[in-house]
Amino acid sequence: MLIQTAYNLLPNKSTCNNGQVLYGAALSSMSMALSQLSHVKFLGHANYYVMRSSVIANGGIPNNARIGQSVGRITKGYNETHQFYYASTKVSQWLCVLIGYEAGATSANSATGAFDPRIDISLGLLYDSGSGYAKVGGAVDYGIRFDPSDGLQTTSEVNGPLGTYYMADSGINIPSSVPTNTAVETPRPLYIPATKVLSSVNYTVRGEILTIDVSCQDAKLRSLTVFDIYQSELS
Amino acid sequence: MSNAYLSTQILADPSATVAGKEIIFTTPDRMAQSINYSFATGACHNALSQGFADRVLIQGSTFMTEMAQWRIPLVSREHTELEVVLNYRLHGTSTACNAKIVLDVGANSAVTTMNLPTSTNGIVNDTLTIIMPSSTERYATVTLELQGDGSAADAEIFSIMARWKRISSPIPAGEKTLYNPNPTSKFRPFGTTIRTSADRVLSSRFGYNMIDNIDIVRGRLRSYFTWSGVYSALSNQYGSTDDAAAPCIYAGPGDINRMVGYPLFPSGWEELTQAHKLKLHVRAIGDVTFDFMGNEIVVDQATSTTVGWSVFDLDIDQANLSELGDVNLPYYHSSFDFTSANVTALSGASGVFTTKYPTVDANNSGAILGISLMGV
Repeated sequence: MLIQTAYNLLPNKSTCNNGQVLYGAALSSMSMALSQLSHVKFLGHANYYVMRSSVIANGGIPNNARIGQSVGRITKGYNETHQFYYASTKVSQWLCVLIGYEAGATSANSATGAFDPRIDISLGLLYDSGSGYAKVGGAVDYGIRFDPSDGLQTTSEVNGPLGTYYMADSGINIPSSVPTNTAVETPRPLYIPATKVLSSVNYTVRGEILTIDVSCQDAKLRSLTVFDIYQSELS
Repeated sequence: MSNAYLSTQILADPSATVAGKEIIFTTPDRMAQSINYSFATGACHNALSQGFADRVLIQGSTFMTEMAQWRIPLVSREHTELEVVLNYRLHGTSTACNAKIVLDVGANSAVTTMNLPTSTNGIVNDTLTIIMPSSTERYATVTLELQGDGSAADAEIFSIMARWKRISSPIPAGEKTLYNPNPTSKFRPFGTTIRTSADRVLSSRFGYNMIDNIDIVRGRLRSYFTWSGVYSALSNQYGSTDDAAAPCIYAGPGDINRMVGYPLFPSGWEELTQAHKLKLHVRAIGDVTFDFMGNEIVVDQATSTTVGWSVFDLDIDQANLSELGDVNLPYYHSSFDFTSANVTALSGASGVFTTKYPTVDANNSGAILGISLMGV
């Protein structure tokens, strides 16, 4: 069935009065409004803005002002990791990833002469066995890698109050089959299965809290947005 | 079971009810489960999300110190449990480092303190249960305090997430309310009736209640973005501000079109009857005027050093702002606008923000400490 995105007009209540046969168009309209709620309005969404130091690229804090400025200061070989949490919904399935970043090390790779920033993103699972959440071993989705071959920028302004900032995304084209990769691959939407065997245990995944693990090389993460991808036809 | 839902049985095919089709109970049964599902689980994804890098949310003081504050929407008066998850580490070794979360809804509060024991990356979580006040409330305030251990250890937070817990199936019996404790119409969960378990036309009550329920749940607020400056950062392990404890206390010009939220405005959003559709919450020191998502926001507080939250309705020019049409759904770009007025306002209208909150004076009056966007 098709999932409408719009808030449709609801039936006039008089169509539900005693003496009317309540079925047909009135019910059809209500059912469309209901699927819009569960599969459009209440799709999952998380938006992480990553606070960085107010120290700018060439060192120091201009005017001692503690405000958002350029990041820069990406020396060759710089690495950073992040772990964010996503409270998936019970109908979450495919996840679009949108990242804001700065890339561009101070020097190229000495061996290859290339700038090679990359950002890897994968999904894990939090599970509470009674003493609080811990990340389950293994990955729910081994994930994707953004690098210059997929449009990741290699250079970035490293000075000034308005830092250069780029965005990249996984796209929203849902693959024809669920991913089976065991290492990062080219960008695609991340997949949330209903269940998955991790460390020899079958866990419920969909609807649980997932980790979004981000690893950056020669790049700094400024923001990460994920949202459940709308699917226009479901059964 | 009465008032139950199963997430795999919530799509009712609208074409199953058209003329010429036989009346079967499957469709109304799924509709009943669907509205129960939306009420119980809708908007129970992330209500608060923020990440921190470069040792910015770091605390070495042995005193519990307030460091950040956010606004998040409520889901309903029935959703009273807020689950908070923190990713953290200690720099040093200690058992005395803690994070404290304070949840305020109207006049009521809930508090939890979580110990931070590990020097490697760790995860802590807890659930706060709030008693909803008798007043109409649509949002909550979440405050983070952090405690280090002097020269022994700094505590650092890398990310924070909070979400309202879903109501598990079945929804408890009785009428429910969204935000107003005494509304004119209330949400009525659908139980098993002869209409949802037998092939018969539906009662008038089914139709009236379903229409009311849909209209009520459409008014539920979602969180689009949450940001707080970090104040009172202190590191005993890393002496130079180049290394630590130099967070952004205030929103700045570097956040223009970087600090972005993506609100969803499907067709028909303009015609929704809900009074609270898109709300911008701003925590500022004194007065400040800035441009956000095409709206001029004028924060006007009692004095130039008053610190507080102000709430604004945003008017949206869809045609002008629609930039994300390639994601299938009409998500819109919301941020500080790139205007000269904003560059001036966010840099400090009469200079720069050299005074560090929680100290307030003329040198940080007009600074923005926090901002949240929420809407239906």
